[in-house]
Amino acid sequence: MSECTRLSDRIPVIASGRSEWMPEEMDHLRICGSCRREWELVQLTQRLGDGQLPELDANLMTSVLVRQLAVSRQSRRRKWSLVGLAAAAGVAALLWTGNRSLPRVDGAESTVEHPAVAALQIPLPELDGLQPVELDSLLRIMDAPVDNTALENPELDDLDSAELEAVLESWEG
Amino acid sequence: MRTDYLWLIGLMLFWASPAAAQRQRQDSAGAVQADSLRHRIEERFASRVQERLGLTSDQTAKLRATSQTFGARRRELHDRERRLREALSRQLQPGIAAQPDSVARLTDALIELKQQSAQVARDEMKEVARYLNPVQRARLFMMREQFSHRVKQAHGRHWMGRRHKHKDRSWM
Repeated sequence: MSECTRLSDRIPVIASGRSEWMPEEMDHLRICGSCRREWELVQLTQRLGDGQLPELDANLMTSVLVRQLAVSRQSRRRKWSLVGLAAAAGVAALLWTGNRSLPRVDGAESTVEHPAVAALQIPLPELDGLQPVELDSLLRIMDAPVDNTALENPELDDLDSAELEAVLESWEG
Repeated sequence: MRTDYLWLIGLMLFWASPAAAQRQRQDSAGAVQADSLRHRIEERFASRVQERLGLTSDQTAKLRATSQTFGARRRELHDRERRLREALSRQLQPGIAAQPDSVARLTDALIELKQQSAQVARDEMKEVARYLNPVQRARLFMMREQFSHRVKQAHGRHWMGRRHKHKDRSWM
């Protein structure tokens, strides 16, 4: 077994924290660019999602990666398979992270369609004291367009003579 | 003791009478109808909110949770307000001398309640600002305002109709 292959096998173990580099292995990493890139890639994969997905368990991610690497090593012991898998895991983690926790920008309304949107429920205590006839009337008028000026609680000074007449009529009967 | 029995018998006869039974049935049917209408209105309002705000499933779930929490608080305040208003109306009935202490206490309580309602609305809007953008939040606020306006309109129409019919001026 060449030193590069041996290090390839050691990388997942060290990445998961179950072992540490020996001095001679560190020396090899310093002189072998291929092994060093492989190690850097695994380290980079481990850090993906940091600060963006707090619920992503780094240890779990590493162990999944290590398991995948072990399976892969049985069929292809060359380092390209490791690189491919690490890259795939990285891309998957990136997509997952981006999908789940990218913050939404204020002011921008979502245009994404969600096929299974749960029904919204908004309790309306204002309805509690109303009689069926009032509720029925409300059901009929609730979708009609509202003049926003009607929501402004006008004072008497804001009313025209017809409106003042109506107020007087309503008070005097 | 004998008087108590007579009361009891009288009460039983009253409840057993066909007129009372019919009234009970009508009340019960009215309550079922009111519940059904309330449910339809809440459902339609929620559906309009979901549609006009363009909520994502995540926002829907969060707004649902917020609405449940604050809805319970608003319902409690609303019930208290209704009880206070009823008590105040009883005190202010024409031809009956009002008790100044009670009237003062009830009026203060109503004003305090208005402040509490405003605080609940403020807290709720602060909470929704965590997951709705400013435009969505403003739309929700406006829709709530418009809905309250509609409730007053519906209540007012019914009340005005009754007042014209019965010339009831006890509210003045």
